[in-house]
Amino acid sequence: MAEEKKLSKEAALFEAAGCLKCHQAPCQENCPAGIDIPGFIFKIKTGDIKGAKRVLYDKNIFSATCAAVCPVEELCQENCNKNQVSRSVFIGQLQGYAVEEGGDIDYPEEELTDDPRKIAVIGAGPAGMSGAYRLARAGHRVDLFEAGDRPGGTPYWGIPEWRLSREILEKETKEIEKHLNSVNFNTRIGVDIQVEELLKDYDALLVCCGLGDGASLRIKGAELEGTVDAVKFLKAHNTGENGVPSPEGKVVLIIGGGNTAMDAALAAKEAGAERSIVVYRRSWEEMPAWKAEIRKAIDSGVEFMLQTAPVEIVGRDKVEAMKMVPTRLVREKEGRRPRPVPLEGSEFVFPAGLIITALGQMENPLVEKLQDQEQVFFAGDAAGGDATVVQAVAGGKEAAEKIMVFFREQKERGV
Amino acid sequence: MTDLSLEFCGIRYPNPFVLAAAPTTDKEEMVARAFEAGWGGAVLKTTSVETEDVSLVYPMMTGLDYDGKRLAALQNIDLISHYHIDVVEKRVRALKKEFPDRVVAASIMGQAKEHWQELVQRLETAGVDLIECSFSCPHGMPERGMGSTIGQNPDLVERTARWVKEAARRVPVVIKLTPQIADITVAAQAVKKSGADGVCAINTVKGIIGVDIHDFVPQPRVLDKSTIGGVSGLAIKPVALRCVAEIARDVGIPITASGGITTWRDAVEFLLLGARNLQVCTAAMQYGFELVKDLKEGLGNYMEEMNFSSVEEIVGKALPNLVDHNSLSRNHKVVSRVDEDRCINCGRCYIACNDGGHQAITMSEDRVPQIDEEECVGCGFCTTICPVYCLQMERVEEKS
Repeated sequence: MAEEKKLSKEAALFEAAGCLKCHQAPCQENCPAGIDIPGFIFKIKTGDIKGAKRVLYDKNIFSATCAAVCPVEELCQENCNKNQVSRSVFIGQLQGYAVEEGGDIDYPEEELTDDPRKIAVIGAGPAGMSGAYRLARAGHRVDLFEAGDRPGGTPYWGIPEWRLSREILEKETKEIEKHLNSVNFNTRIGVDIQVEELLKDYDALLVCCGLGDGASLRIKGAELEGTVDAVKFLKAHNTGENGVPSPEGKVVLIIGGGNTAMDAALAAKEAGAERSIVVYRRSWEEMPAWKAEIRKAIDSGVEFMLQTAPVEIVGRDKVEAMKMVPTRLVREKEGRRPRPVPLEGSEFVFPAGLIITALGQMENPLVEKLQDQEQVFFAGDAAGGDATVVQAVAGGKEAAEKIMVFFREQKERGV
Repeated sequence: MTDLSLEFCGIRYPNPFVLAAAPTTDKEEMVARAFEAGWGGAVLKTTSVETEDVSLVYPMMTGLDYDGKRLAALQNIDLISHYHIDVVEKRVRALKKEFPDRVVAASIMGQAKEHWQELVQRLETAGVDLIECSFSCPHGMPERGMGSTIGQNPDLVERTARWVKEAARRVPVVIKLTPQIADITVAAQAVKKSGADGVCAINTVKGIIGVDIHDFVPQPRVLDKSTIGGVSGLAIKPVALRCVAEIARDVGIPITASGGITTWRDAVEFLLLGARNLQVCTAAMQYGFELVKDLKEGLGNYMEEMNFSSVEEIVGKALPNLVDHNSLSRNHKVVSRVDEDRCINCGRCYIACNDGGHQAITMSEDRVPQIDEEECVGCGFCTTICPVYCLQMERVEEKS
């Protein structure tokens, strides 16, 4: 897939020529990072690829990562004005071309603050790193703390290699690390370092710790061996860790209808599952996963059991089957998702060797702990709702800006 | 099929589309293929007497790209054919024998009176239908007193044209003019005075198509140097149209047009401004000889749509509508109007009006251009920018 996306020079020029360079371009307005999209495309057209890359990195320090993983059909390309006459410009592919072919660039210069402060950033995912970078480039002293043994966060453990090369991600995180005062891996908050300590030692905290554990399935048999949370499963699949049951040769049921469910279903297929079947309570229409993701899953042979709800996991000491029930959808309120109502008496048992639950993740407990502290700021999944890397990058940067406003106001108040 | 035949200088062409004197007509086999594709005639690439030394350089062509597309214009530093008259007279014989219904013209160039006259006589003997004289090549040839050196001097035009006309017993003589002259009608007038039968307008426009920005060599580069050349193709169409119109209006001599004709629409425009024969070079090189099928069909369909029963009816039809600037109406007002259903909300017209016009366009919240008809002076620039042609100038009642 990553290969498929690559444009040749000729294809890039051809594609770039199709950009209308709209006024207040909707692509740019739809880009969470606010990249000057018509600007970078125009530079490709005029043969200034390095310049194009500079435009990208000026707004998004994870431009190469985002080129690989951005759901462009849901963001910049969705409202491309050219959709009205033919099709959108392939913005994502042009971004990939620019970051690949733009050579080495100097990262954008920032104006240094005359009031440098100390900031602790928690979490080395895209939100934390982009926030840390923004603060560091403004002249602040930034220490980064990460529970894991490497940077990257969700893009590192949650996205398969075929989609995002770890080399690309590492190149970008390394560049960011260069600007930070310290980077501390394997450092768990509340275990290796205490919250109170951080609050005392730092002028501000930027918390980008991501989400907590996956929500569990509250049905009979959920505790049986052979049931695994999608996040854990993906982590193991993408990083090669052990400890989760292998899908090889099994019928795998994935419960849920979001992007994580699609990723898990694809990963199960990739790892040799005999069948990889997504079980979702509602219909295509309500499925929260992006269209492109659903399409990819279908193309890869993932199957779907729609309007089907899990009832019970069946097995003696490990998963052997799942009892399910078809649902009908009842629309109770206009504008709200219809409620799935089980069709009593239609239960059936479907043999399965592995059940993956993708029911969303719960809040990270650290968030509640740090809420209501004046000098604590949140970004990324920890702040809720940042579903994409580019949104996390933008969120991290915005939080950094807020922190700097907070410092200026403190200074004005004479604190 | 619609009759596309048209008379030019006493010759009835089966259709007005003719390959210009260029690489496309420098081989007998190529011209034969072009005739098979349907071209009405061909002007064989300019030839000379056997003693003329023709030393070509390579590469000799560079295109001008625009907005991701190739060949908005083409520059060449080619010279006349390196095939001399001895070869060309044989080709004329062979082509006339194989394609008696097509017009085989030959282009010639000479340094001295004897050369010009010898060329005409030998070609006429070989059975050529028409002689075209190049007084217009802007590069290489002028350095030896040929090409546009003649075309830029009305006295030399008249004298040289007369030599050729005197030598020609039977065939019409057409003089190919250069646009590199302050007033092309003066040169055309000189042709008329000489007794020659028609003009070909225009030859290439002198230019430099580009420079290699990394090693500073202009293009097309010959090893490590370049030279000023002749620009052809779509980009020179406006210059050619103007020259044709001026000659048609002010001189009244049959014109074969050349300069940027690419589509049947271009062809119609040249006819409307007074051309009665249409030469194509760059577009035929770009799209191949098969292009003529589209030119012919397009012209035929246009005639059907417009109820023209002969091409003759089209010739010069736009000339009465070309007047002096002073004579244009000042007593009406036009404003730009948007077809909101077709608008794709790109806002290009807004930028165009704001920075290139009169700040009469604003964008509504749902990105539809709004035209302030008080502020709009009617310059028309926005209509040239819109990618979906949804803006038009419309006449409005002027408030007193």
